[in-house]
Amino acid sequence: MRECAWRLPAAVTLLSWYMLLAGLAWMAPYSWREQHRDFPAAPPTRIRMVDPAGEWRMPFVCKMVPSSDSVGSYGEDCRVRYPVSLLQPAGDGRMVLFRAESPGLLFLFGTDDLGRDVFSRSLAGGTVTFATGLLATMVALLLAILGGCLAGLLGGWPDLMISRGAELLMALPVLYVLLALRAALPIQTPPAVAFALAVGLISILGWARPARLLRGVVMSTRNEGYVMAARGFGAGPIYLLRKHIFPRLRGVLGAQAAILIPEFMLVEVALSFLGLGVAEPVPSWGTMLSSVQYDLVADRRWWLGFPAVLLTLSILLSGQVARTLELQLQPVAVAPEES
Amino acid sequence: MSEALLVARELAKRHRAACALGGVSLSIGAEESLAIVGESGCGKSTLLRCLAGLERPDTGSVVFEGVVVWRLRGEQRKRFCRGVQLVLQDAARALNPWWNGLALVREPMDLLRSDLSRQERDVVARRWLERVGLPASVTERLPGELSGGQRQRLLLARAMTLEPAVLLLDEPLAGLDPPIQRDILDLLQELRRDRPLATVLVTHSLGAAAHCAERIAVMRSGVIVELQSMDSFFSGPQHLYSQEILAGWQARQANFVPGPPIKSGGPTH
Repeated sequence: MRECAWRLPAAVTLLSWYMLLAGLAWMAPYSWREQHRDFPAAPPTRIRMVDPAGEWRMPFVCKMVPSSDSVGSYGEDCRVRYPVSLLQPAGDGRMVLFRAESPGLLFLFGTDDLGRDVFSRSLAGGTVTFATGLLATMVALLLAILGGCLAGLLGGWPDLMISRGAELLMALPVLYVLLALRAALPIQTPPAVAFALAVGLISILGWARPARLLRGVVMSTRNEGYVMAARGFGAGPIYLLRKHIFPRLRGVLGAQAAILIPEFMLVEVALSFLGLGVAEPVPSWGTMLSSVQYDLVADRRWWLGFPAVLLTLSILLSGQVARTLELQLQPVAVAPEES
Repeated sequence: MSEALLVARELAKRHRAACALGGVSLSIGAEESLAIVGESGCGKSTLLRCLAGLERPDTGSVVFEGVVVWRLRGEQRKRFCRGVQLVLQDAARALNPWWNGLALVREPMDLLRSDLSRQERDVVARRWLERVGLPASVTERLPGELSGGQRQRLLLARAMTLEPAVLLLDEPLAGLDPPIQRDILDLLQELRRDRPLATVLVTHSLGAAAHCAERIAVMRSGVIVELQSMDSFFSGPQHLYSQEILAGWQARQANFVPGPPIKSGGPTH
């Protein structure tokens, strides 16, 4: 188990990335629902360090001036400067990441059509998307543990039913089934219900693969000599699961979680992108990105695509970590034979 | 022979198409020692697992103290497990590779001796480790860090913690060097001297059988073809197959040119 030293950084990197997203959401400069009605579709605010006179200053933003000729075009009046400061308490007592001195406005990723700060909404949306992925993974893995252990331990007809059921699920084009199922359920629901429905559906469709994997590990462990020996000491199924089988499952579960979380996050994004996940005004990366599907928006309001950058980063990072974990968490081989 | 402790009646068992046991009857008396010999795949291990209640025979029954073993539940099942212990083949696989020696030896007591406190179980475990000749450092080690002989001793220790009346041993000498085999057999003899203990030893080796058993059963293709006292087996085996394996063994003994005696370093008695 010398590889332990490597396992930690990989998992910690991933965890800290998600913690960062969730933590930052609490420290976002603006609330995800706060609308700056005078500044719809504003481009990312430029943070400057040189004033019009050419002198170096601490970072500041200029006063944003809506131009009179068209909505969504803005000018800057750099005679009025607002210094930018990090980690400042905001008006509501929260500690925010950064802000421009009031009444200055700082939209790092610009604003959407309702004048809401895209950066703050990206962070909040990331939390929603990540929470969906995490919860769906937890529920799916619980179902998988239940199914895999029942099938692997009991064998016979329970195994037959669970395994064939899982194979049937794996044979289905999951995304289409998911969309159809979600579309068949009520669409106009409160955000909490929509969230629960997404988590439920994703995990019900997603338990099959980990369940098959766990079943295999349970079956191979069940036939180990030491499990037979424990049965000889009168051990029942609960004892065998707790003492001999679960410890073998931990590694598989860890790697599966690392694989499933990003996968389910993508599924959530797809759902909300198509309007079947959590709905406005609650942000998720999917709902936020759905506005970019029109040429005009993608062309003129490119900053609305920022969540895609965060999503891509998350998925790439998770994929890398999952691959590392999968290699490292492989069950160690049985005691080495004598040479 | 005193009254029978463990009785097998007409045991038959099929593994898929292959016949593993074809009607085996056997009775093991208290403090008796029986050896079962036969070639690989003749059903010896299946017979032992049936006797230990780990496999259910298709027909026939195993009876311990007058009760059919497979039907035992709860306290009665525990009583049976404490009375009849199987030492599994392949010590490397019969020990959980992630558990240390102490946890491994304590496991049977954790399951079956709830009357003892954790400390008492630890004490008993350490006592048995010492009794089978293992150093105290084994308590901290994983099975992968032990030698084959040490693992076999560990298996014996964990079975003996329950102080069974019948000890079933499935090829305890497989994969061990001859001097170590000798040590294990001697240890078995000592354990038998210490307390009333019946042993059933499954082995390939007639030498080992002769060393530590009073009766011998010869198995072939799932049936016992000959069941004799050891002396009459060696003086005149009845069945053709028994004569064959005895002749083969004697031929190997004759061809073997003994070198100078090997100092094993282990306990010699």
